[in-house]
Amino acid sequence: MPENRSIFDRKKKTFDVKLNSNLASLFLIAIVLFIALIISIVWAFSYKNTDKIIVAQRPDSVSSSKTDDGEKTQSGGEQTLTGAVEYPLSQSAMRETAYFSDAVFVGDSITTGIDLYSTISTAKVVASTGVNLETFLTTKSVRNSKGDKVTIPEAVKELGAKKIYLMLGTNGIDWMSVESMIKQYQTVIDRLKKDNPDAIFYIQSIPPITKDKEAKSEQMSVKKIKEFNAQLLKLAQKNKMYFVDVFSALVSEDGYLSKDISTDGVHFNSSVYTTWIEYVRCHTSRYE
Amino acid sequence: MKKVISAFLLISVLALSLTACSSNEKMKNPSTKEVADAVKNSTEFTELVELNDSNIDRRYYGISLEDIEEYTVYVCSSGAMVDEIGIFKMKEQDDVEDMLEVVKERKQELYDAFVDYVPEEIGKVNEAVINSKGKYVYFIISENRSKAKKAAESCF
Repeated sequence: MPENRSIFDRKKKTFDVKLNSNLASLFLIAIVLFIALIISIVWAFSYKNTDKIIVAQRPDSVSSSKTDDGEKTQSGGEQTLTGAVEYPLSQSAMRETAYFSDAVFVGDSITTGIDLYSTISTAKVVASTGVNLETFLTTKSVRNSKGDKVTIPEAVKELGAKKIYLMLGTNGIDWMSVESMIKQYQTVIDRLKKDNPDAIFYIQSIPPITKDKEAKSEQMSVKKIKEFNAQLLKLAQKNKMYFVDVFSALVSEDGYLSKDISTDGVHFNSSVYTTWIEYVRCHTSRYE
Repeated sequence: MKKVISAFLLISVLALSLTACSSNEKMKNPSTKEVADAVKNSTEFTELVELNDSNIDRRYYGISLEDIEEYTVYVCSSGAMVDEIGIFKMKEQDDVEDMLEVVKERKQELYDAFVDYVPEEIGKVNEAVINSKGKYVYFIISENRSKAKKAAESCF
């Protein structure tokens, strides 16, 4: 009898051991499946969220404001993320001037001041007075290295710059609609991208004007400039280019360009160029 | 009679040569800064900025700095106006003609840039002073052409 019981016990024990090991296997498999499920959910969630995410909503007025700790922050417009790029670029550590040794500033008479005042001597400047979004691609207003008159895109292409800072629009605000300006801007971008496939682009918002200038102009107004800049930000996003909100760096508390720094209401003196370039140096890509 | 005429002629020649010598001795040798500032102060100019070696060649295309002893150039800081003062002193007299060509090219550049952009400035460009005196070449675009020109030429 005891032997039978012993056999039975042994069989039961065997059965128990087998049952336990089966249960353990099942348990392990369940754990693995659960972990896989978690990973799948996380991956699916992060893939979906490469779309734009509004991370901060700022008031309409484009002016700088101080936080409680006294640090200046940017304000105006929406701040958005596309992938890992912020629109507009937020403040970062000030770049060394060497960062700009392969950069070119491209634009109209406002940009010529960067060269005139030697604000950042490491960078190149290709700009000409009077050029606008309609004439940018066709007017031979600058010289190439041989001294021949060429268009701005041709001169830029010859430089082989790796960073292109673009500021256009002030010439045009007075007679073009924002819609047509943005359309023209796209053709400018298309051409510059085609000519400079390895370059990264920084699209700069255009500066404000003085109150007096606005009062004398038919269509030129800070309101229209802000409207253009807002559309320009979207254009930069669409083209996956960086956007530098130079307007916010140069606007004064009343929402205009200060008359103390501008004789004609549009162009400004050397101190403003220093402010501009310092802003640019503190708002660059984190990745390149 | 013949002797009188000969003597008169001789005296005339001597007098003329003395005048020429004294003219050479009276010719001034101002610095280009003196001339440029005299022009700047002679009449109203819009806010001016001085050019230097790092940026003058992109405005005065073809300029040969090694042929220039010294220069002072003021351009308008505002992109909307064309006022300009360019005073150059060449090392050699032979270089004056080339510098005049460079200056004429600069005048054309300004014309091309402003003719559609700010047409009301074109009159000033068309009446630009481009001249030379000895080894000096001077270029002035001003609202008050005659005053500015006189101020420059009184320095030489």
